[in-house]
Amino acid sequence: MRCRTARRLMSLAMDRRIPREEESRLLEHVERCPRCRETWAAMLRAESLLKGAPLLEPPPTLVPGVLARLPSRRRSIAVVPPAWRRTGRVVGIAAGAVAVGALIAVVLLVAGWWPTFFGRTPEAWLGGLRDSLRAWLHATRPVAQALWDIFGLTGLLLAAGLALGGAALGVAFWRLGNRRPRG
Amino acid sequence: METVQEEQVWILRTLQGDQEAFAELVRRYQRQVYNLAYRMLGNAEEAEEVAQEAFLRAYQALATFELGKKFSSWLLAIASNLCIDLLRRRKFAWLSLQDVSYRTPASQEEPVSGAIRHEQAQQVQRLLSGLPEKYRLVVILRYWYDLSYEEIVEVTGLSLNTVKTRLHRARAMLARALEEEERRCDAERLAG
Repeated sequence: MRCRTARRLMSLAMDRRIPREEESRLLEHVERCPRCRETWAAMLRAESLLKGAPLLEPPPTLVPGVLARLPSRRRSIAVVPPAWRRTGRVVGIAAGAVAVGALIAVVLLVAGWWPTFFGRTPEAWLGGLRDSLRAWLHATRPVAQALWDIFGLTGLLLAAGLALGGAALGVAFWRLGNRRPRG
Repeated sequence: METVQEEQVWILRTLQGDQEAFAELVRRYQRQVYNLAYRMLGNAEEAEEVAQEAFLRAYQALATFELGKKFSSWLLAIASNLCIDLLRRRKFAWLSLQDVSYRTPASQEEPVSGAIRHEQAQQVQRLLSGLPEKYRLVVILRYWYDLSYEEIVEVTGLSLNTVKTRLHRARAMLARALEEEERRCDAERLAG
């Protein structure tokens, strides 16, 4: 066995996490190699030194200190079972995702509706705004226009409702999922 | 097994608003939490402060504790996170205010009787404080809490391999520090 391998195994050997035969090969190496023997012995000394140090008694003020700082409250904390909490988080994330999707739809629909309503191009309105925004509107206009043609105002309102509702539902379920008692 | 069931009853009663039940939990685990903080921070005053804070956080987050799991692991995870936060803040304070010497464990009073034991306890704290905090944590959990690798994984959220590596490196560092200290002692004895 080489020193590198031996050193890698020492810690595991101390915790009895290696097979017997590997342990005996390690000990064999330690017998023969003076430097590894020194390290191994020092590791064992350090271990017994640390293990020998007793746990301290906590100060008597600790428990009263905690109890004094507990929020005074008689009301019981509603217990949300873990399974519920997990479901809550999943529903929260799903609703959040729907909300984001619906929000994108809203933006697209607004972009499709805008020019027909005002009879102007977005560029005319946003002329002063940054190029990036303009480019984005340009790129999405065909999609937006198509969406508007298909879904119209009803679609816009529906998507807006979905976005708001989804976001609210997401937040509510997320909070339920992370519910913790408050003082 | 009985104590685990008892513990679950206390947790449920705490959740129903019974603070006396929580007091039982604090009494039962104060030793574990306090000692973890003391070994991590090397300072009795801060250890008490962090231990209290850990129990308060546990109280506030108790509804998120999953009843089937080990309460002590959950509690130790909260306490060790608080310790690491504090050590980071301490380091930052030290970096920004170089002249403020932060309290070293060696100067702390150790409430253990007997001069030799006192000397040993100081040596232990000295060795521990020489370790980087992430290594210190696994060593403490392994030696004083006798946690298995898997339990250390549960407390720290590290992977099994990381736990193995950190324990290995920590032990190598401890051995080196101990050897150095012994050499220094021998040299002093020879000189004196």
